[in-house]
Amino acid sequence: MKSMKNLLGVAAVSAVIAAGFASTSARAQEAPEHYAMVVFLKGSEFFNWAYAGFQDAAKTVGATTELQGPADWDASAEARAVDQLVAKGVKGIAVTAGDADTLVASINAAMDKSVPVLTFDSDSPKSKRLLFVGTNNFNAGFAAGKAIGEKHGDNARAGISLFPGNDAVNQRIQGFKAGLASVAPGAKVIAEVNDEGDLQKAEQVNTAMLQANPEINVIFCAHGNPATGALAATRNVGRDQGDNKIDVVAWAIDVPILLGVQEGEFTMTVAQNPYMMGVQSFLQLWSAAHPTQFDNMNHPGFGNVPTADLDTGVKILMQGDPAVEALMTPPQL
Amino acid sequence: MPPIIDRQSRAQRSAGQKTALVQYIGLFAITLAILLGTQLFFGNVLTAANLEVLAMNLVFEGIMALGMTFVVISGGIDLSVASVFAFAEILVAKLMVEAGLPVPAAIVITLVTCTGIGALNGFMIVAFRVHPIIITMGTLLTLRGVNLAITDGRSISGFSEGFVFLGSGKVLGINFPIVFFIVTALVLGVLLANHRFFRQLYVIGGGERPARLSGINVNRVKIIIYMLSATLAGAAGIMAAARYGAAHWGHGNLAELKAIAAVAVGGANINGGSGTIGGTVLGVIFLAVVHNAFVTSAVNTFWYDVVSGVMLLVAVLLSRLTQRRNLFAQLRIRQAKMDQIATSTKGESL
Repeated sequence: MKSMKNLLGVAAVSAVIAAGFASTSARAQEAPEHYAMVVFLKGSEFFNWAYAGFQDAAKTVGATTELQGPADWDASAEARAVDQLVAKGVKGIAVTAGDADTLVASINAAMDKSVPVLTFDSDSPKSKRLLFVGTNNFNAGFAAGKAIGEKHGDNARAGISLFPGNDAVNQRIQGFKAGLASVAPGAKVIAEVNDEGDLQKAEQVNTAMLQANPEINVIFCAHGNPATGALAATRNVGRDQGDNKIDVVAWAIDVPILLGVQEGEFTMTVAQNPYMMGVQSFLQLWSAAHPTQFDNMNHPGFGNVPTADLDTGVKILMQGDPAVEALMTPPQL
Repeated sequence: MPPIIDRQSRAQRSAGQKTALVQYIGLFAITLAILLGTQLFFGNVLTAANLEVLAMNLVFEGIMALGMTFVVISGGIDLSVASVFAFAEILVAKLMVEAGLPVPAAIVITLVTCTGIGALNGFMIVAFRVHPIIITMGTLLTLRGVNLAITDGRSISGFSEGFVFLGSGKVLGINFPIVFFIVTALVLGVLLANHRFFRQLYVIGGGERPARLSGINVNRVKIIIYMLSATLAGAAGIMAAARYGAAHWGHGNLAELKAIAAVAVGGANINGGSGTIGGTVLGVIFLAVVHNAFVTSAVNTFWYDVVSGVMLLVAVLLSRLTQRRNLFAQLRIRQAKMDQIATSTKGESL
């Protein structure tokens, strides 16, 4: 009797599995093409913009999408997400690399299995990815540095709030220094602080930086997170208004930052175009997943995509720019 | 060792065994239901590729969870494992890539260093009588800073093929880290269930004072357990560096919480005194399956942490409930036995 029950149990489980496989193959015939985006900071407004673009572009061709990735800046978790999406059988993956080297093995494995992968926003140049879609970070930093140099001239004394170890951030800082030097050779970068990508930490370290270096008249935020903390730091040292006001240069298009620009709290913000990064990422993946009569020159077997990186550019937004208002409505996901 | 320890730990073990069995069956059934349900509704779950990814997804946290099981049973906690994990990645990478040491030497030095960190954790906990949360949190933060400072925030890559095998190589068709996890779990599981030294943990977790009175060298046992936890975190870090082909200070962020969650879901009492390696393994598998189900179903991943958190709460509450029911049942049995003894003694005296 007991063995009969066991047998029935095994038969039930087998039936469920068989039904699962049967439904899978049936679904495979009907399902629309499915693409994925992997980010290293899930929930970030910047990546929400990028994903909205990705989603909207997918809708135009009847494809579906999903967003994956950690909420705590762990590139190894991104690598695992890429592995899992490949196992799931997605048609293409757009990934922003939390660490360039960590993603190499997973991206290469995906490409070897004929799943097209491209990077956006933060690159993994040593990998076999199809191309990079995003801001040329050096050029963007250069534009910010040039704008500050034009405003302050040789008197510019900048502090930089950064998150170490990210190639994109490093390139922005190099660009900022070069842009500053291009119009104001006497301008100087006085200090650099590690805000660890955290708002409260940004307030602490920037306050300490301003107290130790009272000559600083500009804080350049080299990534999206520290701007509000840096602004709070200028308040903490009583230099958020008046003649001695410190110019805070943000690097974000979050609503609080845009409001701050509109109200003159932030002198300027470097506005990338994450929505277009998402749109272009999808279109390139779609193209790569649908080969035409001539193969991709760099990656035979895939459809055609540009052989060079795709720069989505930036705009330096200041008070009164109509683009500020336009960006104030966050995307629907 | 005085026989009282054996009696106590055996009594606690047999009491816990019933509770554990019920929990394991429940957890296994839920895990299987999620797995089959996801296959049925979304497909692509029971494929070789997905099962491999599923196993690899939580294997490093799983290895950390094995060490954490011992710490939790002893009534402690080790929050530093994630930092030790990243530190091991960085140290082994620096020793190989920058110092040019051969792979075995780099691995041995890294493991010994991690064991030393665990010894320091254990020593500070027993010497200063400070709660393990504080000490290990201090180590977590200190090491995170050290990891950032010594790498300048950059990743280190360029490992030899021999080293990469530790992360991506296969033994009998199974990824090496999974083989390591299975073998370690089996060895530690057998030791925890049968070896006198490890059985002392249940007594210590049940109460340090009685454990001391029973003749157990509590301090020595605790230090060794934290050494074991850090060594396993170090081993996981070494394999992770090999797996990703890079060492980065941000790897393994919040891994300590996943390791603790796996131990708790596996039925260990977070206050100490109960828990098994088998339970932890089931907890790891459960968390991996839930994560996999989210990716497979393409449900908005913003909900993943919510569901994981709620499931952890439910698992822990169910565990407490079952333990309490079991305790009441034991008390009733004990009372009945005492009544029986009292009756027979009365009969004899008459």
